[in-house]
Amino acid sequence: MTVLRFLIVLALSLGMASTATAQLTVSGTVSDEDGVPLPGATVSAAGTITGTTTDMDGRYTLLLPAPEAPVVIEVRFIGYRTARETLSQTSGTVDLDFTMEPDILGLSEVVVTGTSGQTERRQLGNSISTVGGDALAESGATDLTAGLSGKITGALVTQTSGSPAGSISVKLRGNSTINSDAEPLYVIDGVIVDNSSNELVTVGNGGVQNRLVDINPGDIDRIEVLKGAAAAAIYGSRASNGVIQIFTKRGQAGAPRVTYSSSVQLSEVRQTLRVNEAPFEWVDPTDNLNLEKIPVERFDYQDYIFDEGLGTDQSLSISGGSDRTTYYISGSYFFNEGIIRNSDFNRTTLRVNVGQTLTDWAVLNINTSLTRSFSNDIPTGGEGFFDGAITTLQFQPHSADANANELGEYPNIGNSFFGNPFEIVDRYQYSQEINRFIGSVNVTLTPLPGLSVNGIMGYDTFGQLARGFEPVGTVAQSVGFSSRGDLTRKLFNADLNVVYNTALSDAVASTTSLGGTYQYDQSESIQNSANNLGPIVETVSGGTIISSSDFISTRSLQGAFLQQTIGLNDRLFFTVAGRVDASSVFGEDNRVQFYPKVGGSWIMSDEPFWDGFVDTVDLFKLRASWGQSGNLTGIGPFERFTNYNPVALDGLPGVIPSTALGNPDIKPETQTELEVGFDLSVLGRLGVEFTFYDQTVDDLLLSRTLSPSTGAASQIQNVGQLTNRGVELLVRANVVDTRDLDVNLTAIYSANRNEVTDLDGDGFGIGGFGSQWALEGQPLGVFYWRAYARDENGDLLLTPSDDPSGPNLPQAERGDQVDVTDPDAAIIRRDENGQPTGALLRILVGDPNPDWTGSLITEVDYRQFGFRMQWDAVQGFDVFNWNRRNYDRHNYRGGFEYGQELEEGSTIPKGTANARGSGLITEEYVEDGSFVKLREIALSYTLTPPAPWIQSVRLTLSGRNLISIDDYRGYDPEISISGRDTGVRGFDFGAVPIPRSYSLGVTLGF
Amino acid sequence: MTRFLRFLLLGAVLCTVPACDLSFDNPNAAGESEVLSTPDGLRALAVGMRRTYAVTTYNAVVRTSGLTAREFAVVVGFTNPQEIELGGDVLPPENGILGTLWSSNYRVMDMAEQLIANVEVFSDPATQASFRAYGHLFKAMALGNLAQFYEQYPISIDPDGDATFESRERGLQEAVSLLEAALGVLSGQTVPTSFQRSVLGTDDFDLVQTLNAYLARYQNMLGNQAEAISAAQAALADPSAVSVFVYEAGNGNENPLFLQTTEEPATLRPLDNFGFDPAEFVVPFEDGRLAFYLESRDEIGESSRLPVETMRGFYDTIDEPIPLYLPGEMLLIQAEAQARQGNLGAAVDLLNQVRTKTDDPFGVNAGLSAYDGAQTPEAVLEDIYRNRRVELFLTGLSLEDSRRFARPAPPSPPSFDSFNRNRNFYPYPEEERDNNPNVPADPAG
Repeated sequence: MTVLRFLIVLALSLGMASTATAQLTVSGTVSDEDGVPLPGATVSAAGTITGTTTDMDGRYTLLLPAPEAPVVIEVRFIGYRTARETLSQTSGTVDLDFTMEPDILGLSEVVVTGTSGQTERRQLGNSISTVGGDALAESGATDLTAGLSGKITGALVTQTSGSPAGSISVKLRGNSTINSDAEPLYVIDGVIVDNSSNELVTVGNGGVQNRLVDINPGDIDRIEVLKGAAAAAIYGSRASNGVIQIFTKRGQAGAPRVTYSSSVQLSEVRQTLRVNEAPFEWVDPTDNLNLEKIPVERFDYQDYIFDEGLGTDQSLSISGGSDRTTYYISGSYFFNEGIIRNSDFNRTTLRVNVGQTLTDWAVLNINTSLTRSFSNDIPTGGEGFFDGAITTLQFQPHSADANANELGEYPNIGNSFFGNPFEIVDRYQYSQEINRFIGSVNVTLTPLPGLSVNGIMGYDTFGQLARGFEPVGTVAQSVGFSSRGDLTRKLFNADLNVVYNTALSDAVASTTSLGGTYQYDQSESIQNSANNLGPIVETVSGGTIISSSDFISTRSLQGAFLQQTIGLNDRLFFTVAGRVDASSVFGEDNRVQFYPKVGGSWIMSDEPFWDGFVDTVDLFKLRASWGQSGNLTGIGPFERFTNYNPVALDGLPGVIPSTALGNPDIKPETQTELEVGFDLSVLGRLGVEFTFYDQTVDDLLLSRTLSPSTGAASQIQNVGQLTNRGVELLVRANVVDTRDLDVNLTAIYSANRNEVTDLDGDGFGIGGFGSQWALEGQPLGVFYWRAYARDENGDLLLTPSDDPSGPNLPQAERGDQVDVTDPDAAIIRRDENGQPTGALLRILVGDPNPDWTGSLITEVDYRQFGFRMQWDAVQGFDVFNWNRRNYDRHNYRGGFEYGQELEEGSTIPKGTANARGSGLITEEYVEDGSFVKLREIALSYTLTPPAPWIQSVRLTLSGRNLISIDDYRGYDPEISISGRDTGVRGFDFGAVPIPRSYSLGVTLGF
Repeated sequence: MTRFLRFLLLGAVLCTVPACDLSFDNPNAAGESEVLSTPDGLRALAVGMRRTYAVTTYNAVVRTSGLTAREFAVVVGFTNPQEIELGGDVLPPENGILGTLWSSNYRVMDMAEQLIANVEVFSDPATQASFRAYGHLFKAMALGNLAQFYEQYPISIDPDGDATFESRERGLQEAVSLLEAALGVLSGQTVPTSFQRSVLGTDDFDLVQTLNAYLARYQNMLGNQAEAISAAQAALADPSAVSVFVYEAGNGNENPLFLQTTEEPATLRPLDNFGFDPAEFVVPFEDGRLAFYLESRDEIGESSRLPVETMRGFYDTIDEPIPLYLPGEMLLIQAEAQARQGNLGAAVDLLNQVRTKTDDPFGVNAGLSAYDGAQTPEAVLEDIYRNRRVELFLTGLSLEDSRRFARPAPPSPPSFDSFNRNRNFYPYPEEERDNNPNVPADPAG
């Protein structure tokens, strides 16, 4: 740090020495290859912060007060390759026109994520995906992470709940950890931001938003995504799950531009489930030999639970500025009703981004945003999951009218342990309120040619208030229930990066960077729940406190890196970097970690030999990189200790050792990643980006189950190894490009193979009610539970005709497990009658990790019409349909298939559904979740401005999640109740299905 | 302007310097070293251990023995209790309630061992002796509970996770020696009032009598009749002294069986007629214990289809204290020991003290007439068994009693038609088997 401080002071003193002597004026026009002027292109002098943008006619004028020869003028425009011209004169006036060439892969795009300072993608040895703000705005998604779906190679974006603004999980290049969530690090304008999903009051099943929902997608300029360790030296310790860096819009010099957009949305449930429709009930459901029936009336509660949701999105932004000051100000209001009756979400945002040029060599940027988010939630698997609107459906026989009587009392519809779903949606009150501030101060200094110093301080803080209230006298909560949770979260980061660019010779360019970071975050939460409430009273204070907690969590991290890049002839680039990090969550002996990185890229098509070699390939770049990163936040701040938690009994203070035994020697996981790939462009019309990667995570952090005879239940240990290996392919084609018609196709394909390669001979359940396991040699979270007993022909081995539990029923496989950690060791056994005998066996029955994901995006522009369509596919993964399992059980009798046994003339033996449901025959319920979805479709029309004071009018009609092609027998295979849990994926239990939504909007520019 | 910038940037760097702390203490919980090396820490651990036993362990013991030996019926269907209720080979090793039964006893044993190992923190000999005796009591209770349900089990904590298994007789003998040692260190000492106040928290906890009561219980299980009699007599030395676990509404300190059997919606309810087969024995209407423990109710168990009653006794209010042992048990232990030694007169005498009791400190008063059945060991033991089941209804002793009094073996295949216990011993929990190589084969049933 001392060295850094010295460097800055030196830089500052030297910077002050420069004085103005002469002035150079450069002006001209920027146009595309057809000669059409390009407004808004950036024109700047390379290596300085002096720049301007072209006006509506593509014209620019650049004033350079005291340039040093040679002066390099650069022009950048999204979708075109950077154009450069070198000037020898340093004063006077120069006319300079530019013609831009298309850049279909965006290799001239300047990225900052994972690099030090701004770097063109062509120089990088690793792939970085970028997504423009427009693509997000058109996606129709509430949450910007949902909008990323299908737009990034190597990313699996899963909306885990269809609640309005329900939680979303993003996994880059597979699961890279088991113990903590494997979500990437999010950075907005240099501020490390919180994206947690904090369920302060239980609403269940991923129903609480993750906090990026607080960001107005309309404010986003672009998003850069880093996927693994090879790219990550600059974020070293926190980048093992990847980094998603978000940049918000900035103003540009010129007259104020006002943009107003307004839209309305309609959401609906895409399909409901068929439930028990049989007009009979068994007199004794438990005795399969008693076939006596009585007539009943059946009801489908889903007709009432689900409701069409209306929504509106209003946003206004003003941007502009002078030569020295730019600003972007926006405000937005978003309101959306959920598809569960009485659930909704609203968000109000205000953003002010100001850029100020302080001196010729100093720029200050201040970005601030304020958000208030509020949701009315309906628990879907709430307080102890007994009173979730959708969960309860599975535990009721659907044979009673659930409507309230004239006194407003809701009936018990069969099983009072679970609530009346109508009462839950009508009377339960759950809500979340968030008030959030995110701000950053960013100073960039260029005191000397080639030297740039950047300092950022960022602060993200929010308060979250959650409430849950279930009135006295409800079916499931006769004594009422009230709960309140408060969370205050603070994240602070300070980063200082110094970059020095210099030419070592005509052919050799060098970039040296040195940086340091300090990160601190804290959470304080308080929670209180009570029952035995007084009548009318909704607050906790009226009742008997049944739980209360107060928790403080503090964490900090320091790091520094040094990175050197050498460029040869502007076509061969090598980068070496090293980073040191220390995190407070690990013990002193294992706290400091070193992470190296090397990378290189070779733009072969720029080599002299390429000319005349493959003329049609106008760009070919090879790239490779290798690096390590860590997971310095992989365990909780105090998880390494054996904690004795306080309890109070009858006024006496007590402590109880945590069931999780501490481990003072625990150290962070290390991820090592190699990636190689190429970028290729044919005639500027077809672009291909290909990457192969191979990741290994060592010293895997695992909460390992201990024998209970140790007195504890689990301990965090560094055991084992996990690998992810995969390919990512992006093909972009400009199929038609005429003055009137422009057709672009983008195809994305990603395949990842996840394997737990070493668990130190162990194997254990990681969730999903014991169904999902980590096993050596298997992908993480495989379904490892019961399978059907089958005969030698592979047909179901049914119970014999004299079986007291009932004849001809399916049964679970039995035998001798031998070694539960080795699925191949199990031995199936049969008794003398050929029936299964021995212990119930665990057998591999499915894998929640997809074989591949892909997307196909079609964009068509015809005159004033625009059309965009995106299909997303996730193929070859299994989902445990736990809903169907409950529907099959005779305790609850609600399922369609259960009802089939009751139908007149049914040939299905009584008890078949229950035998597999109560018998937990997982094989039956682990279903293929493969789907192809029409994720987005949008049609827009740009009107001729009806009045001179309006610049543009654009109408957009769009739809989201309209169609799903799948064989899944639940609401939607794209669901996971454990939210963003790493291991437990593909587990469906009472989750809110993802809505189908339509939106009609207008955008006006002034 | 440059001056301003310089300050800004220097500030950015400097503000990180004083905050460079990378060691944060946990403000939410106490650390191991603080707890085990300080008097306050050990006192708190002693309270936490009792709370764990009272809220979790006791509940697991009563719930499982009640379902296996047919005192309870499941009225709202969940897989875990239903598997135990049906028993036999329907009960798999991964059953969550069995997991809790096993682990909650080892949790208590672990805390007890930590307490015993660190009593030197206290300088006062009487305080030290009290902590040691208290630790011994809870470890013995854990060992005794496990003996009721498992054929073999580890008799001490092994932090390495590969504890060896010993026979249940060995486990009971260990419990007996722990209790005898505890009585030894307390002899000649008075339990200090500071211990009574800060650890036991109530005057309704007589450490010495409780040690004797559990000693009597385990000697009885081991068949050491003379030792059982003398310990049971010592446990009744002061007939008015009682020992209870206290509960309160809130903070997770609720009477756990109230939450399961009484608070709506209840998951478990006691069976009619104390779970006796009505064809075999009907508890007489005039037995005062009927009204003490049960209230008439018109409901049947969900799977068993057997009639159930409303729970009373020690589980009908949220903060009702639960006795660690009942005085009636001490009388019945003596009666049984006398009967098994052939002293029928003494046995009937003691049995009659229970049958005619009207002054029980907890109100468990049968108020019946004296025993008038056959004066044969079989008949007397049969009446002792019946009185144990009624007097000690749902206190976690029924499975052991069913075996010790040689009630009929579990039905095979498992069936609700039988009122017999549905298993002799439980399979070993999956968490133990998966992590400890020394787990023996599961018992047949």
